[in-house]
Amino acid sequence: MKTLLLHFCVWCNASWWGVAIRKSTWLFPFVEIFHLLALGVLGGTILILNLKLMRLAFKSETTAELAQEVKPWMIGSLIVMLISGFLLFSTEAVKMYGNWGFQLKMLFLSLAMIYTFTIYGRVARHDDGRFGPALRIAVALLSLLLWSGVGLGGRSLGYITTSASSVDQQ
Amino acid sequence: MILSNAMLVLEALARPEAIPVNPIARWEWVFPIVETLHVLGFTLLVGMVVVLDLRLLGWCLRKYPVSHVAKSLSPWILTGVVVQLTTGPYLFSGDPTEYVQVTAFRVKMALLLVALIFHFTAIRAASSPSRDSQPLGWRRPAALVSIALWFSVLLGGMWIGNL
Repeated sequence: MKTLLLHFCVWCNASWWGVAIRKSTWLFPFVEIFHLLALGVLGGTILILNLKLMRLAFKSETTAELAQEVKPWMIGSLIVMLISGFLLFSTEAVKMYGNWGFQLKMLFLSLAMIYTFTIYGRVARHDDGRFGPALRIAVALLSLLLWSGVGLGGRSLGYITTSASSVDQQ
Repeated sequence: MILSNAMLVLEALARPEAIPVNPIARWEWVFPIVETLHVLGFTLLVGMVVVLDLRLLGWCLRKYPVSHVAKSLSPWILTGVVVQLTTGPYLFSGDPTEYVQVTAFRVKMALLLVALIFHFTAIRAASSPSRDSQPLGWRRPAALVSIALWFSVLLGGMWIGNL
């Protein structure tokens, strides 16, 4: 399993997009800007749904309505983040293989996505008074925790140096 | 924070030769913690502003009047601003003479000032209840300006971080 992952990272590293972005002076910041713009939108939509679940904002509309309104933006921004993230990852995929901050980020991302599109989505769509405050707040806090984990894992990348640079960068 | 600052003052009075510049200079974990709060505060601030701007553009939450969306979001935008204006200067105070000389920092501060002024004038006016029945008009480019300004602040911050 581990060697499969390493092979994947090596392959990404050597891909034409990985090489192109790495060689260019402006491509990396360019892709990064999309990553961040999408992050702002994704963060905003998740925040307002969680605030609604905790009854801290949007007092007069139902959670289901709110969820329906923001869903296209949530999904759209997530897609942009996944694509741009993959492109950025490819520029130093092998370094990321050895970076535990990155691994944590991917773990949180997987959990956050699975959680959001299953339990969380169900609660949001059926939040018509059947759930007590304890459950709603717990569901919202878990969402905030998981997504914050992604963000903070991302931030920690820069603080962690790795020795996994044994494959040559082109 | 108040207690630790009080302790520092007492210590400083007792041993004036050991006065630290501020807590950031003394304990190395303070900086990452305050920086993390700064990042979280930024996510809150920009996240909420982006949603408001999307509403002003007429692209999201169209079922609800602009002023209604603004009213729900503004306490949180304000919270974000307060968190940033607290954590930001705290981070700055760790190395003020250095930061002041860095171009990225000066650019970021200038953009931040413009972003704040723009938000509390144009965007606030755009979210006024009296405009709810009016077509979006000038409010749409204003929302784009708002997004551009806040993202420039973010990019400025990242530029500083990468130096």
